[in-house]
Amino acid sequence: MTSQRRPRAEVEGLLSGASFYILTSLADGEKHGYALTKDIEGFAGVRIAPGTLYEALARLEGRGLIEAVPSQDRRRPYRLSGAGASALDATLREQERLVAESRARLRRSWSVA
Amino acid sequence: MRSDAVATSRYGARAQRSLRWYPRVWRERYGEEFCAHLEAEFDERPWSPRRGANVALHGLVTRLQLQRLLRWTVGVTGLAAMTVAVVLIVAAVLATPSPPTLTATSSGGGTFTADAPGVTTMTFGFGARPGTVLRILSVHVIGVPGFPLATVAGADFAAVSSDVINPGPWPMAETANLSLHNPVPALGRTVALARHNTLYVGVRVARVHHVYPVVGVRVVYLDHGRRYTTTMLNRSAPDVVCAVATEVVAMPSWCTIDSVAASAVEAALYPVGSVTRAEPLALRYVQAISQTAQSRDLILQHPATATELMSIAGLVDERLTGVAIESVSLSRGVFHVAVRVGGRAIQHVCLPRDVIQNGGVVGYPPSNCPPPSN
Repeated sequence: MTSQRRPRAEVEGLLSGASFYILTSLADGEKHGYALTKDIEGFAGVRIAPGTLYEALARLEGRGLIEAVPSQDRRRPYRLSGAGASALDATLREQERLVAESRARLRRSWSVA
Repeated sequence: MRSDAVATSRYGARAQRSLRWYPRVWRERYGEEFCAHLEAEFDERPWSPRRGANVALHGLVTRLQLQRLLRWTVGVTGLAAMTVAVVLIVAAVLATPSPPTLTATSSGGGTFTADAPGVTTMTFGFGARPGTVLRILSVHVIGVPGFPLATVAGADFAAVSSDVINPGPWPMAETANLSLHNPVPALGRTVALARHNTLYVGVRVARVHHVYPVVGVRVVYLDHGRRYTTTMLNRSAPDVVCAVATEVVAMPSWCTIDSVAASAVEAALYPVGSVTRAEPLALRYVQAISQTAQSRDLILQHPATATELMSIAGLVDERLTGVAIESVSLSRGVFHVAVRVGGRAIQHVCLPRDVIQNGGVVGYPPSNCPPPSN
């Protein structure tokens, strides 16, 4: 067994689902709600429904992972905060670790490269 | 691919309605941008039940979260309290008697004579849930505005609806050898109803040479100590009692004319939907035959005597009925009729010609006039 048991707090701080998609979308620049929906649909093939999207936006804003950008438009853009970038980075590292673990097991047992 | 920058305002009202699912605090913070988002969504895909459900669900969850109810209800204390509350509600619902369902089946539409002053009998068939037990407190006649109102002299039940086909004058005579035919006094007595019942109502007519149309009866009754009111209507047309001085063989002409008038006025005065009827009133008695666009009169025909054509304006004797047709005009396929009742305010009804030509006379209030036919 090569993996180690991860601290629970660290695992709980990771992103999943709509939150992960939103932070990934905001990683290359600020976007408002509808632009987020279209961008996520484009790169992940997932359509996030309005209720789900705004529940996630409110939660992420509450945790300080994203920030609302002042705007004259009704459509308020959001951008990734420093904390959000760190959380996304931690999530990606964890996912990379899991991917590496998965690949290693496949190689060992099934000779899949 | 559509431009995501396009957000139209034609769905603004709809987006605002969707916003109502969310609590006020949330709306103040996210409402405007959420509306803009929804408008763009509607513009791209106007109809999506899944999206509607998603918005409603998240709105409600947000409300619960804000009120800290979600955390409370999933806790053990909350769960126990909810269980107790549900048990209490179910017990309360079970303890509350539901009102008996009385379904009137009387067709009505009969015209008959009765000696005046005197009492004659009318029957109202109705269904009830098995095991229904009730006590009738009072029965009132529902008449036609402008015509004299008959009063109720008494009410009896018969155990089986097929009993007493022609009950005759009130009070009904009891049949000695068949107990099923014995009438059961209905007023002030607790009775167990059958699935099919007949209520015999003694209707008192007072003045000779007057017609007494009876649209139905309003029955006030007690069930498990609670007071209810139900209405039993003659479904097709009112029954009309013509009060005569002595028993007659042939129907007097004034009785025929005024019973048609009562049906026509009743049909004109009752807007569709206010009275539960299976078919338009006066369907079998009054048919309009006015076909020409130039006609300004609403011409009525008695189907039994097809040549007997009468203008509705001349049909109603105001001295006798207190009802006057002030005017009848035809505009784009709809008759507009102004009716004056008892010298009081004029009521307006409209009668679409195509409905009339299909065999019925159905009055609509002006605010609910159907679109003119082409």
